[in-house]
Amino acid sequence: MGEKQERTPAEGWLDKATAGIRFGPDRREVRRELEEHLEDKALDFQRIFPGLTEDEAKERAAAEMGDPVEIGKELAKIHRPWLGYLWRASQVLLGLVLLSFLAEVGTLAPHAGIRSDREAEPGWVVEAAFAGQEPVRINNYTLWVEEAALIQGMGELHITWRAASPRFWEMPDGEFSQAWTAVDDRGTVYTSIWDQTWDGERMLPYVGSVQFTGALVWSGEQTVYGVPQEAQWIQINIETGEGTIPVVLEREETQ
Amino acid sequence: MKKRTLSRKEKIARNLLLALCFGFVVWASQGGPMPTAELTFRQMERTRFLARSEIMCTWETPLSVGELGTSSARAVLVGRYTDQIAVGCLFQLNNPFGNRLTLWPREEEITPVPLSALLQGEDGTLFHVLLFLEVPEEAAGAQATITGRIENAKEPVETIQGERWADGVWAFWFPIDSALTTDGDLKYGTKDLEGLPYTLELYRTDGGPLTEQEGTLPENFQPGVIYDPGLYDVLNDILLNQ
Repeated sequence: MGEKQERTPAEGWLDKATAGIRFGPDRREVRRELEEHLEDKALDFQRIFPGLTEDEAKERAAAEMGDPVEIGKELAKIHRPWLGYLWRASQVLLGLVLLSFLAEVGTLAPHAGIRSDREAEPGWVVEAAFAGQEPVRINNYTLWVEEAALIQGMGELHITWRAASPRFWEMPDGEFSQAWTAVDDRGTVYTSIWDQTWDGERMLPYVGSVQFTGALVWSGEQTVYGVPQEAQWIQINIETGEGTIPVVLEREETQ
Repeated sequence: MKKRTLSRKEKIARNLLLALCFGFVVWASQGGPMPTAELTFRQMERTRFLARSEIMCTWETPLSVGELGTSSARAVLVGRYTDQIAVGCLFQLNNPFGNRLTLWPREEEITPVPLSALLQGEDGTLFHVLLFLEVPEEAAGAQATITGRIENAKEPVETIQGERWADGVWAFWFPIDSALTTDGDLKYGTKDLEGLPYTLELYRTDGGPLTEQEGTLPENFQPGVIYDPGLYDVLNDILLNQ
């Protein structure tokens, strides 16, 4: 009881043959294969010499397999530890990344775009639709106006923007209000500076910023306030620091 | 037909490739955070449809994340366009959102820019920081005076010595004295320097005067910048009744 069990000669042989393999999983795998080979050999010996016990057969089989120290050296050369550790590290890394991915997977689904103001206000009547021209390219972004509608009686032009970029992970920040100004065919200048939209008596023409949402192709709503009902076109100017890029929206003829 | 088992090297390559792919997706879902202040600033330019500016100056706080309060920017970058200046105030280097970028008109001579974020000193004091850009290279010393600044119901006249951040960029740190707080609830806005008259004095290496510039600090109205118009009414009432 409590005595250390003596290792059999076959087990000792296996210990010596695999001692040089430093990476644990490899050492265990190689030991298992050698042990199977040893057992096959031992069975062969027992068939040839039926009087042999199992341990005697294994001991003889081990002796036949060669010098365990020399074999151990060759096995150590084949099973370098760094490759084993690298493999283990790659498994851990992949596991951590997958956990992060699963934690984020709920946020990866394309967000529903902002519900259009007009969808939220079914009582609104569209005075006129405005159409944008060709898409404009700013930095990596391609920007275009999907639709624009002037709401009757409110002087509000509601614009739906779309944006796309090869850098699909960089959603544009349309809320940078200094980016937006506007002017229309009646000479009205629309500011993006919120603090300059009140002259003490009334609201002044104002162009709001755009909150983009979505994924891959983003969409955003923008409202221009104080647009005359008779306006024929309005030009949205996007500030780039080195000038502005105009996007002209023209009134569509009603049928 | 027996399915071929991947070798260990092939398994390693497969794991690393998968980690790279999934890792990229996770990184992209966060908005593609950048590892440095300059890359973050460039990303801010791109996403705000701004052209690539010439970076004049990059300043980063020496304070660690634990030492820095949440109301203080940890990096300031100044970019130059032909007619405008872009100033980025970064609160988190690896967060593409929540950082602040403002445009200012570029003056013919020296351009003043009040930062739209507070900065924190090593002793924890918060500062309104005023930048002067395109200061002549010959300037060895600089002093800025601002009048009319209202802080915690007081109107200090403050003159501050400047520190050189980069070629042509000088910074003036105006401390916010929290000890003057009367009821502890008065707050200050990051717009406190805007619209105020200033005097900038530059000195040569020998201490002699180089040049002087006076003017009014520009104002930059932007939604999202801390600005409490009601506070100014309260402070003005207090001042008038003193």
